[in-house]
Amino acid sequence: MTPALVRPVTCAQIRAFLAELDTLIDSGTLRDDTLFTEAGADSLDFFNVLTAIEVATGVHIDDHDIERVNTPAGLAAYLNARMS
Amino acid sequence: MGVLRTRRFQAGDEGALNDGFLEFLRRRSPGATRSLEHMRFVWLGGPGGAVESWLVEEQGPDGSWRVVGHHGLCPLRFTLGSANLLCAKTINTFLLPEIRSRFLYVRFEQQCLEDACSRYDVIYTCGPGTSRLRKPLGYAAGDVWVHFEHGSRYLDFTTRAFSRLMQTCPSRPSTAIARGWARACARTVRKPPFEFVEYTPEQAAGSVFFEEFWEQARGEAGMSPRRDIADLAWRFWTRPGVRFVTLVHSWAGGARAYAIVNTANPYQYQLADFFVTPMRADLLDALLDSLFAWCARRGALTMSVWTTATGQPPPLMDVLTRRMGAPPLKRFRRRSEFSYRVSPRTAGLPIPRWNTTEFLLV
Repeated sequence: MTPALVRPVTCAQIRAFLAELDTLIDSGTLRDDTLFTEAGADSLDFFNVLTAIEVATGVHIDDHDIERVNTPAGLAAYLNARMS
Repeated sequence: MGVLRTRRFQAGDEGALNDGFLEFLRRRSPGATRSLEHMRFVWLGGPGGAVESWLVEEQGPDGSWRVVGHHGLCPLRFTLGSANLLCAKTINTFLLPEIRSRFLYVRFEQQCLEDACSRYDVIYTCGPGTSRLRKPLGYAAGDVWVHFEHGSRYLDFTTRAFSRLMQTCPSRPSTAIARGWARACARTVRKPPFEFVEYTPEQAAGSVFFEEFWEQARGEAGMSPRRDIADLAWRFWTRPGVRFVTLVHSWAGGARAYAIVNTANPYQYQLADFFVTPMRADLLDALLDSLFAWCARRGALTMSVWTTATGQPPPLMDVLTRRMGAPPLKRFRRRSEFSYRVSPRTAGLPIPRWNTTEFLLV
């Protein structure tokens, strides 16, 4: 079961959440400002991560906002601004 | 970093798309090339209809747009027994690496599919890593591609080693050695079971042999691209920049076979497509015997063919496995996969077996 994402969402929460997903992301190299793709995520992983985040939080991530959520820190900030 | 946008391909986008795709290819293979003429031929000339394309573009500082990603579906006419189907193969799908953290490619492809899937019976995809990427999009992992290679005549391994040497070190000494070996092999060719009738592309396209061929053969072919004159011409005979030789044979009693061979590399021939009807192992055995003799006489060192693990009926796969081995170093290559997605309009379509050769790769 994936860990809950509760406000304020932190990078540690994001990392714990990702660790439970089946992706190619190397959590050992994933720092707060590391691009998910630099940590090994391919197109499918990136899609799966954002889809799982959307399901877990109810926050829709628009295509135009992808650049803002491509690191753990960016994703946490984005969610904090939109989660009620 | 410029703004990204997506849109459908329009007439006049050919050059920009070709440039974007070549930029992507050249990062892995610096010498990769494809003429605009060839790209237009594939995009616009297919008997199944024009390729459907969707572009991802990035705006530059000067306001102009360049292609940084693409998804394409190439329509191909198939048959399944007596049924005529329109399938599509994914083509030139890419996204430049630096864009991957800024753009949700899989969602983009999902939107393209929603737009197009009602127009096709089945959509399929080939290449390494494709089944993982496309599983969430409804593709079923179908099969993996297998590569068979035969060294012409005796001392198969030595012949294949010379062939490999030619590929990796095409120097004058290696060419001389390979040519000498090829001549020696050619002198020892045994009498084949039959001699082919050999067609140039122009002769093949106008031949009586192919006029009714597919109507007679399609019943036992399984899920297969049409092998009628229009499709074979587009896939092989009229394609710019590639030269294929077509070999045909008719046995007494009505059995028939053809083989289409890519002879671009004079030492390494590729069997791009073949079909024997009826699909009997002894006929394929004879076809290969005659084909290997034909290759050896022309000085080719190897003959290779691609199919999938279940791409031929089991007795024919047994013949391919017995008569042609896997190429050296095969285990170090990434496995190329084959996945397909049955569209809602043909949901429940029973696909017993795909007949696969390079015909499917486009």
